[in-house]
Amino acid sequence: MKKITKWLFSLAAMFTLALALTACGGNDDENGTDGEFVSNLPDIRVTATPPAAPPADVDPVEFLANIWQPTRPITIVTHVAPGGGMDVATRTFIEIARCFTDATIVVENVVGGGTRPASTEVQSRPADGYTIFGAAMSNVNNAVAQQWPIQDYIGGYYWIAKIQRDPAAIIINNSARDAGMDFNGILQQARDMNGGQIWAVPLLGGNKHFEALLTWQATDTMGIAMPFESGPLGAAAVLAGEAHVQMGNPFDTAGRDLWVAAIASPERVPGFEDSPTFAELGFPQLNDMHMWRGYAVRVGTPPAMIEWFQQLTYFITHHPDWIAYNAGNAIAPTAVFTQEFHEIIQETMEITEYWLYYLGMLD
Amino acid sequence: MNTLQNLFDGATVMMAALPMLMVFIGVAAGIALGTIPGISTSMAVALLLPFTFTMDPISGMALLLGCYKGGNYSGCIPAVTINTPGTPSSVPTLFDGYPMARNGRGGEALGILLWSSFVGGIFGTIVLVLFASPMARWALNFWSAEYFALCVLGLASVATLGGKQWPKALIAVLFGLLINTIGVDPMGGPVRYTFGIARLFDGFGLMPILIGLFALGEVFHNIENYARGSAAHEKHVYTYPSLWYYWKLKWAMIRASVVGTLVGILPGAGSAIASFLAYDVEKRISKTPEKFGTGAPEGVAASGASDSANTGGSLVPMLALGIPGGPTVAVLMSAMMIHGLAPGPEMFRDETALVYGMFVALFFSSFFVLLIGWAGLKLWVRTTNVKKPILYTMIFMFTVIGSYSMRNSLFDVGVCIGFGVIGWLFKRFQYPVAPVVLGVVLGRIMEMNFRRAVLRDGMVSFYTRPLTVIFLTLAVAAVVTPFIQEHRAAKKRAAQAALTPTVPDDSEPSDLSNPSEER
Amino acid sequence: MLTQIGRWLAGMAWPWQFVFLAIFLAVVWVATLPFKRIHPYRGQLMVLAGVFWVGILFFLISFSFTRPIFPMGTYADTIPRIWFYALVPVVVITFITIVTRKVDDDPKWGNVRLLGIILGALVASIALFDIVGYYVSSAAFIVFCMYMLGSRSKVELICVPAGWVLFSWGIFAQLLNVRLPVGRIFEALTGGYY
Repeated sequence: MKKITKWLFSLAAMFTLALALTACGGNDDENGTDGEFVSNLPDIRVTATPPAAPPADVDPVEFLANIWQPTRPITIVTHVAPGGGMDVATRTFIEIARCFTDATIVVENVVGGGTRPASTEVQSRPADGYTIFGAAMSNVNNAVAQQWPIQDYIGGYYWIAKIQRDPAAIIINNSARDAGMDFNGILQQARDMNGGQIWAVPLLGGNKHFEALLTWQATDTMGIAMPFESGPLGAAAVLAGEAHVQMGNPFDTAGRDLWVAAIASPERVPGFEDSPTFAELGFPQLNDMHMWRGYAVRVGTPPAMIEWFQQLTYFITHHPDWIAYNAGNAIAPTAVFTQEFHEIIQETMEITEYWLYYLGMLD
Repeated sequence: MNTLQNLFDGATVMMAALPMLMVFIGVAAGIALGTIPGISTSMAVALLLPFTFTMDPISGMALLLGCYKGGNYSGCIPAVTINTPGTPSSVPTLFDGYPMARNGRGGEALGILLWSSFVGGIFGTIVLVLFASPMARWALNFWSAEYFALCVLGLASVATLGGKQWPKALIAVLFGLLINTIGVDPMGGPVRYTFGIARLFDGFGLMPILIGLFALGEVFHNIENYARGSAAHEKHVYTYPSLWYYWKLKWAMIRASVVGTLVGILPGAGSAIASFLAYDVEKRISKTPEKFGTGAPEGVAASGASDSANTGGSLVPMLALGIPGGPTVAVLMSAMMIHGLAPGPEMFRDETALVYGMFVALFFSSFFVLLIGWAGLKLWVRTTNVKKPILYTMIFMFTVIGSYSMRNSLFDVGVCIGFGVIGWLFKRFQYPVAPVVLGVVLGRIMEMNFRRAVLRDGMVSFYTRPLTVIFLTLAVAAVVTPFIQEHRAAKKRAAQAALTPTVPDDSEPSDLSNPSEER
Repeated sequence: MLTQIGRWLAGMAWPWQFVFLAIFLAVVWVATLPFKRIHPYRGQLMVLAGVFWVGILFFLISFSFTRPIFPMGTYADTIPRIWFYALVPVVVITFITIVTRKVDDDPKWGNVRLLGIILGALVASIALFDIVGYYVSSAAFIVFCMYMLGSRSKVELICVPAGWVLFSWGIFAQLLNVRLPVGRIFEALTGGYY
């Protein structure tokens, strides 16, 4: 019996080893891009006039109260955990909102599930204006990538206000910069490494991955996009030398031994004066890469509430504290409303679908 | 000398009425919230976050750091009293803490937890003060291959968790690893095994699994063996050991503190690995490893100290590099950013007094934890004396609300109950439950790091990078050693059996197994 | 072939997965019937079979995962397959240790009826959250559970649920802003606002 057991153990061990080695093998049929790219996305764009800017000498509190008066707390549901980008932006937004309205606005973090539960939560509540969806680009990326019902998860919203435009940045280690590395050096290194240059991105098939692909396309280089789950962990990989470049946002360098080698901005950003823009570097087509954050409500929400929130957004985005908060994080505090925001959403969907198809990541 | 001067400057900033009061309030709030199953330390810190907006940075950080320390300690309390881990890292605490409480040694177990938490906290803070920058630089040597190898080493602790039931322990760990693959591919690929359930896009929530497997599994087991009357009024008289008793555990606490701090320094490793590793180390070097899992004081000391030391360690990469070492530290980091501070080397240079003020706050937090924890000890230990009908019902209620509140999700409650049934069946049919947690906790980190390492350098990275090779070798040794020891012991037993017709029990009792002798 | 099977299995909704599991377990149960010597270990074998089924299911479904066209070295299917490949020999070893009686017998069933009743009540109370709300449903469950476990003190049966409702409302609903289900009845009464 002992001998049989020994034999079985040895056989089992060999079997495991052999199978483990084949684990990296292929599937029966490889998926890929066959034929012409045909978009399957619905058109969610709307035609609407943006709200007129409030008169300069108006009292904001009275002005807003005349449009709509909430009778109970308003909840902004966001997909990020406390401390995440959209969470901090929303909490700051709410703090400043107190200057203009007595309304109670609270943040509710519905995290996980690839951002879907947050959206589902908003969709499950009445379209009465008391629930707002605090969304970011990743919500739209995920809806397309994971093929959620677009008519519900994107078309089911009235995208009322985009509040932030976070520019893309190419980030390297400060020590590399001290050794003479700059954006052109990165390109040269990419060519020397023949496609082996490592670019840290949060995940594959996401916005930062697309930005890296756009950069390689524009500069005729190639690299490996490596997912590090979050901006800080991507920054850690660059600091450790595991990744050569991080595709991130200027904010990812804050306090760290990192340097922005190129920034997607019309002009140099205060606080990052030594970081050239893509246009300056000869790649103006990359100068518009950014991620956005904004708010949406369910279709069917009372128009008065929508107008109230848009005017509130207008006041907040012109408030010095909001401008200072964004400037500190190298973010453009843009206020873009309804029609233009819907255009941005449509564009985000189309870009996502195009790249996912191009990468063979769409089922 | 420079460090001393900086510490003095920090103490000057910190030792004012408001910051000290904030540390105390933070610790008290952290302990109060952390003892409620389902409220994680990061939730508690996030809850206090808005209160800091109107404070000066040092008072705000004092409040949050106090809450971090307090919550970290108290998360282990329900693990001891009701077999419900507050966090993944407090799982090893229940291996011995809960059996101790069941056997009327709850006061002793909670006392060990408190002191080990204090020692770990102080140790982690000292390392933070003295070696933050060099240790953070050292942590940068860890690439994906090293993290993967570290996870393999953590996984190797299954060999000691399983004991003689190692095949079943392996089944359990593989079950944990398999269910961990549910959800969106962490590298950004397809959705796996969700079967149309959107809530599974992120996989199962960790806390519902933990609460279900341990708390519900245990209650289901107890109800199955429930006899009205006798069990319902079973009461323990608790004793509290003298300081000398805790002093005897000093080396266990220090060893675990070292493990906890070192693993805490690595951003992305997680405190659970530290806790399991510290427990594993203690069990391996113990003269009476067979007592682990049945109420070994060293087991409680190891997990408690490691968990607490990990808090100091996880602040190292945040303060020295600007990289948060865990979810709670990420909330702390966002609090600093709201105050216009960007953690990292620049802050170390430009805001020295504030940084060292935070270190001083951490020292005081540890003392306040000791103070409040000592005062609350007799209160918490009474939990185990609550009548069984009330206790079991309350555990049900805490598991339901605890699993619901993590994501406001009834689905998570269902998951919790489902894993409760699994935990009960595993316990009933002698499959160890802890390895499932090990698989669930480590699975995702392992997958990400394995795949990143392969993507970067192929399989080469696993045998060319020295630290990786060391960890993998240690892991192999950790798995093989118990078998060799068992083989030798069996040989020895056989030889003894040949000499004498009866085999006497030659296992020496641990000098800590009966603390009443020390009192 | 494997891809087709994988896609079919992946496309089946979750209740079907439990049906498949039940069928697999039933087959294993039936297969053990002729072997009386392993009857005392059948519970352990069923747990083993359950875990093995999860492995088989995940392995088969892994063939349905889309792979991107760019080289990654490893894909979404790699890790589940590695775990399955590791599971196979471990299942074999565990099976051998069980059938060679190197494990203890399955314990005798205890008060499973009581456990079933309480578990059923727990599930029912959770199902009722959406209708009567968290507070009413949980209070009712507390009373029922305590009664089933032998508590007969009226003070306890009133104070414990009342205390729990107050505690959960104060700490979770008010302090932590947890949206505990209020139930359709109360939603209708309050016009959707709660």
